[in-house]
Amino acid sequence: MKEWFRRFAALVLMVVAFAGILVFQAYGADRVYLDITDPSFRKLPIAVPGFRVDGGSPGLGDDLLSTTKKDLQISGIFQVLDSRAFFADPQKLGVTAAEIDFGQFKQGGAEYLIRGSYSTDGQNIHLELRFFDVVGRKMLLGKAYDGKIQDRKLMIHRFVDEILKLITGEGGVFSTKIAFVNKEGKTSRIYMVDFDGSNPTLLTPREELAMSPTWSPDGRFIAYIGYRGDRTALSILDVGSRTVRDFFLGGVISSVRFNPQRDLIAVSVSNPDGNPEIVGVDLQGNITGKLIAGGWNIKTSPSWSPDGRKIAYVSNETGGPQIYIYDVSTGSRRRITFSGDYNTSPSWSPKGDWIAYSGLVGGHHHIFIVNPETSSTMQLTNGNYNDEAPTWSPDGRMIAFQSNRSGRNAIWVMLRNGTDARLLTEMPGDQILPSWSPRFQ
Amino acid sequence: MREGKRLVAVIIGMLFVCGLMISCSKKPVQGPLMGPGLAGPGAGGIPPGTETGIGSAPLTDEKLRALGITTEEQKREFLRQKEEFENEDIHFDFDSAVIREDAKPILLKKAEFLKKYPSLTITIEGHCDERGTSEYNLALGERRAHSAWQYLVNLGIAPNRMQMISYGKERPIAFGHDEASWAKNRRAHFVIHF
Repeated sequence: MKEWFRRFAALVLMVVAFAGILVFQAYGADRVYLDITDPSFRKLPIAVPGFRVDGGSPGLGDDLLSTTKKDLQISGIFQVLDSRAFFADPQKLGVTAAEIDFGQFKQGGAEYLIRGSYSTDGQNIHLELRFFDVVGRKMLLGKAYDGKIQDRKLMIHRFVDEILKLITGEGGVFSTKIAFVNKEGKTSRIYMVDFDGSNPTLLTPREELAMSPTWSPDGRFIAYIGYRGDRTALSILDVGSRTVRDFFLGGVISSVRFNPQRDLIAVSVSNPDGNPEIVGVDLQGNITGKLIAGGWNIKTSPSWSPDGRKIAYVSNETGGPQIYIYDVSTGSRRRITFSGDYNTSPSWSPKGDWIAYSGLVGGHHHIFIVNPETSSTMQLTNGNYNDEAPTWSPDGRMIAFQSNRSGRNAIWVMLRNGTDARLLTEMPGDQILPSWSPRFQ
Repeated sequence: MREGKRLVAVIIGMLFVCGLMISCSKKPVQGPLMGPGLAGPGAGGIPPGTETGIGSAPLTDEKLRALGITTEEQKREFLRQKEEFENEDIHFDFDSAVIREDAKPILLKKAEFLKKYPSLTITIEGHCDERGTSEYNLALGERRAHSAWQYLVNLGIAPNRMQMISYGKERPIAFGHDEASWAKNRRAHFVIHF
């Protein structure tokens, strides 16, 4: 009998140990999610002591810790507390709720806590991450990851993403990329980086001049404007294979944007009268029809609403460039920006509640958001420099944009309320025209 | 021994002749080559926009003959006018694609040049200053190129002789952050296809 029980217990332990995922969710059904766009939102103080080493190489601890802290900081929801406020030796500090002295963390001002521990074996790492409610003295989320050491950052990205989902109701954007144009001398080519600015990757090595990248909704393609001798092409890059197809549309192309719902690209291309107008193009390069045309003026910079039924765009029909909304099904057009003489680069938020754009104010371009229904606006950036070309993260929490505030043009990211601006691209050259990818599953 | 010396002499002689032939075939006979990259007397001291992705093949005697140029005098005249054509830009007011009064005599000269050499085709480039936003400037540049195109069409130049392209603010020729530089960058630039 005892022997049987022992073996059964061992089996259960093995199953638990090898299952790899431990999930303890302590919140009840009626959850109130935090809204970081609420003006009363204040960041949640969180403590992240050093990782405990349970075996193998101790050298990874610092790397794991800094990745975790950076991901938490980037989320915009947490204020990571200085570790020096907590005196315990991370190696001796417990990792489970039963082992942790929450009082000490509460005294240090923390409301949340992450405890990480790991062990390595050759190329492999076993990583355990636990997220605690300090006041409630309980674990809210716990995960165990097994994989290659080189994938450790992905494990942490996933964990922080799940914390965000727990707290706010929506996961983060750890899997996303940001494409942009990098200008070095006479060459302008398309690159991408991870959401945290790492892994800069050249996507179009053969280009001399490429502009306005836009991601397809499944993340497989990037469409852009490719310069071919004295013509411009709608160029479609297959991101996986890095092959490019060119389509010539019989005019000068000034802007391209993928529809978020289907295989259609809005393109601003000049008509025979020389006026840029907006047409639809399919993935075989066929013009499917005119969308926004007519009149002796410029129509450019289309940005689709998340349901793909409306297009925000720029027109100078009243003199200076202003932003309008075109309803695809009714054909109606409505101006939505009324302050300032130069409003361009619209970008519709993933939830449809705001349109970000670049407005000229006090001699400089800055990022604004405008409510598409009421036309009320909010200015998000200011200063003696230029901010342009906003693009939203898929969770609608962040806006990447082009700014020359550091002296050269680079891509920056800020929260949608205009705070926490951080430099995304640290590389030689000038980086312009960012486009945020969808999430990659 | 005598045969060996003769052989050496023959070889040296052949090498000499070959050398002559090589050096003679190296350059096309045409005088100084004036590509679009050089500032000339008509440029007003403004270095013209250069690397625009449009190649300019060398101007051979054959190509000159195809243009109706047979004498040295004609060739000199052509090169002078060509240089002026490619180095004299027209300029625009801020955020405008309207052809200004000061641009009209320049466009008239360009039309005359194009009529004199009816087989030439060109590209008109539209450019903007740095103050607008990148993407909007691509559209504005196109309107500027088109305005120049339309003006030349109205002067009788066949529409299909002239291509258009816009570089927005991506190819400035003046790099200061003041009106003097901005004014130079707000331009249409004309490139001949060879």
